[in-house]
Amino acid sequence: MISQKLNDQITRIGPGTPAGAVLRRYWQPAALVDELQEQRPIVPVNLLGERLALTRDENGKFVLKQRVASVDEPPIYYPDSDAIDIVEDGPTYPVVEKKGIFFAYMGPGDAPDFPNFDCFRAPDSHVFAFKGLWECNWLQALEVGIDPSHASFLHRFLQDDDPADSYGKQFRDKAAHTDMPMTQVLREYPRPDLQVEETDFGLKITALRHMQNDLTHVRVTNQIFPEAICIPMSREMIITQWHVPIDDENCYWYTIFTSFAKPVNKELMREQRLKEHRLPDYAPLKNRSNNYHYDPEEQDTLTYTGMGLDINVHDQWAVEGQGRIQDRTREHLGRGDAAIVRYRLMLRKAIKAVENNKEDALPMRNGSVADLVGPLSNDAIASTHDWKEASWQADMKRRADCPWDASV
Amino acid sequence: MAQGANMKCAVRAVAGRAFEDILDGYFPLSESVRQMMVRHGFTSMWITVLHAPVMTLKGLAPTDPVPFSLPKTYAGMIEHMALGAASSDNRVHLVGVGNWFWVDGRDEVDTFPPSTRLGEPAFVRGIGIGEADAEAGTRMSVALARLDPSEPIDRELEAATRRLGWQASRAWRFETGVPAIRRSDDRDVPSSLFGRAVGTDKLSREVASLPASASLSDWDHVLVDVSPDHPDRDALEFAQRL
Repeated sequence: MISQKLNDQITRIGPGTPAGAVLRRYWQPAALVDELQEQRPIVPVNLLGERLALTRDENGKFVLKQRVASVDEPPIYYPDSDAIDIVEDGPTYPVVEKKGIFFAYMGPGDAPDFPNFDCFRAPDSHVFAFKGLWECNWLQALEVGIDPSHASFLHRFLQDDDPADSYGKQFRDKAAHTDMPMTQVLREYPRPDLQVEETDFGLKITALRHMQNDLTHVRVTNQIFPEAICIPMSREMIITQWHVPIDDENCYWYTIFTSFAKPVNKELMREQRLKEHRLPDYAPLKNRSNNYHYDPEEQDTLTYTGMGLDINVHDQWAVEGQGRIQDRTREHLGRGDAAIVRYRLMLRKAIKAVENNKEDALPMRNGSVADLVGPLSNDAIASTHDWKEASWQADMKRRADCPWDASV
Repeated sequence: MAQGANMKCAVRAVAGRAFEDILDGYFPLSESVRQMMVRHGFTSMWITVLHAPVMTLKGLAPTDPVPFSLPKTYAGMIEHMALGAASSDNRVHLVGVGNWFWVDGRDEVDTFPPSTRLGEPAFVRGIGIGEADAEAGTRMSVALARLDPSEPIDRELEAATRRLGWQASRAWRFETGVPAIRRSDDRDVPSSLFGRAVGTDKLSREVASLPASASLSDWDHVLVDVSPDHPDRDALEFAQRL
């Protein structure tokens, strides 16, 4: 329940805004490599309130350049390459390609190093990148991802699928080394105890679901400052996901799916997701205009939302349902929102640091960022008394069995 | 009180611990602090609050429930605040120093009313002092000190740390001069908010433990043990995060 002015401070990201100034100090996902095709050599990019285009400079290097845009251009406008006019004396931003995503740096001074996280270390064969549009502010999109309790409600499945059919799907695998489906764990233990620790990169968030027979389900997720999360998807894969502002009222999620043991089946992953999105703007086919394909019969028998089995749609409905920019004058957070409280503290500290020209105080803007590895992100089931060690060991085993160097 | 031969400060070990937690939002600050002390079983507490939204709801008494949506309000932000809290008879008394601002044109005053409501839950770190006496022979991790203002502070704190038998400590000054939460000046920030790191290589351990009813008002510094040989690794980790 904060005032509109304080809400504006942490949500609005255009040039000259406090939160926008923080986000501009970090590499931002700008476009998928998939978007750059022979018939589309210049890709429109709508990022942080600016109308840009991914193109090449005179040396052949990828850059973002300002493009000509009318004031009434739609937020998700995606013109063909031959309809893009570059503003020759406009700003130019450096771009690097990493694991299927073009990242851009739109801030002052030198860009920071990339951390050596799993999604950037894994070989190209073990990563797959995709993106999707959500028509809401970036902060509410991020905050659902750092609320470990929501999965037990929003993503509640009333029946459990065969985990053998779980490839590429979130929460559909077996839980850790057991035969219990993750959907059952989430459904039967809906009130996790939360532990939140500040780290060099953001937050480590541990959700403990205390089960029968002195067992505890341990789920470790992470907030990577300023607007990413790193969470387990299955025993095989993790998700690193950025919530990237297009403008104040729209954002894209960009995800790098990272596989530890086996190469990613990219064709299947792409096919699964293209069934839910249209090209070229990656807008979801289920959306506000068609009530997210809500089916009351499905809600009665199969899912909490009645909006299908893709949990991404559940999250999309939940965050878009809060309005274009969540009205936090009507918000009531509790101690169960510990990670959101800690994140907003980090964001406000960062805003203050930028205002005071103390950029070294920002996470991952000083020291040896390239030495940052991990982060640990997994599900484990352990005896309640040694859950911490068991969670660590489960992650170490997955890394040891991995064909690429995932050591931490 | 034990007095060293070459120092004038008073120092007492107390049954306490470093901790971190979240103050509930929307209630008056003093009520959220009181509930936190009850949760942890503390009788006294020192905490720091950073970047916490606050609000004063027009026409809403401190005992009134939290409204569903934000009516006419004065909104602001605690930028930083170090608070000392002591409870008695189910009430809590707050003193401290800090900096805050209001974004809606409210008149600025030099004291912060403890009835001001938090605009959302606030993460805090601090040191709590409990009701129970420590068991005999137990190594104490928290101490209270009253320094001699005529002596250099660093020397006094080093002597206090040595007498506690600790290799290293961190120390924070808390407000005793005014019965309120006052606006800080530049001198307050290092000593009250960030604290001082104190190290020593000569240990003497000649400090008595304080009984349960420790009152902050007799003291001006709180110290926490950050010795590398601290036997409780979790306690040390919390202390190092302060």
